[in-house]
Amino acid sequence: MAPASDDAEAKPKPTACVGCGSIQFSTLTKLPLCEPCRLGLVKYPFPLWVRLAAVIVASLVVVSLALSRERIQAAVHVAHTKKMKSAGRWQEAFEGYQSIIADHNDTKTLLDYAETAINSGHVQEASRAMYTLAGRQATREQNVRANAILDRLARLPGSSASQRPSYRTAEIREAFQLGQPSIQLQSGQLMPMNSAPTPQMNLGQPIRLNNAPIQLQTR
Amino acid sequence: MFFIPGFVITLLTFPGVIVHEAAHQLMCRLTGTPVLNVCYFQTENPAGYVIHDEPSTAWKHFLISVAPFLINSIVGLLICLPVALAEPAEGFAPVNLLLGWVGFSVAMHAFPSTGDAASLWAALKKPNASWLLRIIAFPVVIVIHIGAALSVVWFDAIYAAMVCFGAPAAFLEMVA
Repeated sequence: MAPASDDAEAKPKPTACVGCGSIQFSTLTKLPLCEPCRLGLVKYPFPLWVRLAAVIVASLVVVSLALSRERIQAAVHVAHTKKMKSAGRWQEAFEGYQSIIADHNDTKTLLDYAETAINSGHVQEASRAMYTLAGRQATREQNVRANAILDRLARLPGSSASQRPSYRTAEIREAFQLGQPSIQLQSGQLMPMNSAPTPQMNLGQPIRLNNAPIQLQTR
Repeated sequence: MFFIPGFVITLLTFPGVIVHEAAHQLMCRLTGTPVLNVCYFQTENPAGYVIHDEPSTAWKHFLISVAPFLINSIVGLLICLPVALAEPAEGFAPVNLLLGWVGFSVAMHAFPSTGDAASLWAALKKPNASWLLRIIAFPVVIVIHIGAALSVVWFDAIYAAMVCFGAPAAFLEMVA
């Protein structure tokens, strides 16, 4: 292969603009271009398909911003509520979760809500939340949390030790099988999510989920 | 660490390549730098390129080099934002999948290439490059090279995940 210097010697230096043949070179570039041709290259065109792609990307950004607008408010509200929960500001967290569970009643959120409710002294709301969990698929960690909340509900002042088994937490633990990836919280009768009857509950008395024991089943 | 051929990743994330090259070209236009040729996408290496005249100042060279980093990161973040904020149950809705794919692809190609870094490095060595620019741009060149070296361990994908999902989470944590 010939060295680059040989190539340079072989090629004569252009004496005119490579674009239009003008002999007036632009002083703003080392390329053999006249000023109009240099300006033409500055405005090197975007092909039509690239412009169309840019329109599509811009449209996606607009759609994203429109979708984000409401989601940001919701996400900030959720994040704020979780922060209150982490900080132990239970009443504020409880109020936050009350509006959250209206839209998002997934198992994790309901457990968070129940935990917050019981810590802020809203026992009825906590038991109602636990009641709606009956029949749900749950992870092992969620099951442990559910049991802990049920235990706390069972230990409310006024409940007698002899009545605690009605919560069936002992059976839940017995049924739990290590090594299984997930469990199912299930009452004797599966209930639709939003039509679960409000448990009749007296503070200080054990919660009876219509006498329907909670059972665990592996998936 | 599993290996996927580069052209497969390029094909899967082609929107990011196009935005990357368009960002270079856009900054060339804004800085008045003549563009000689553009390839927006190809399955070879490099996946795309912009050939341009030497910018009149080193600052312009710096801006042309880092334009994709800024534009791809911002566009990727904005497109992915509703996906990052979506509830887990809605995460796989078709519109979220589309936005997630485009946004992640764009953010994944935010990092300038080693070719960009070499070109910037050459501009920084020229006598007309100011010391301020050298102080700013030298770490950028280093970061680009580190990013390129770490791309074998999916750093570009990790960066995209940080932009698309980490940044919104950090924002929420901050404002909550």
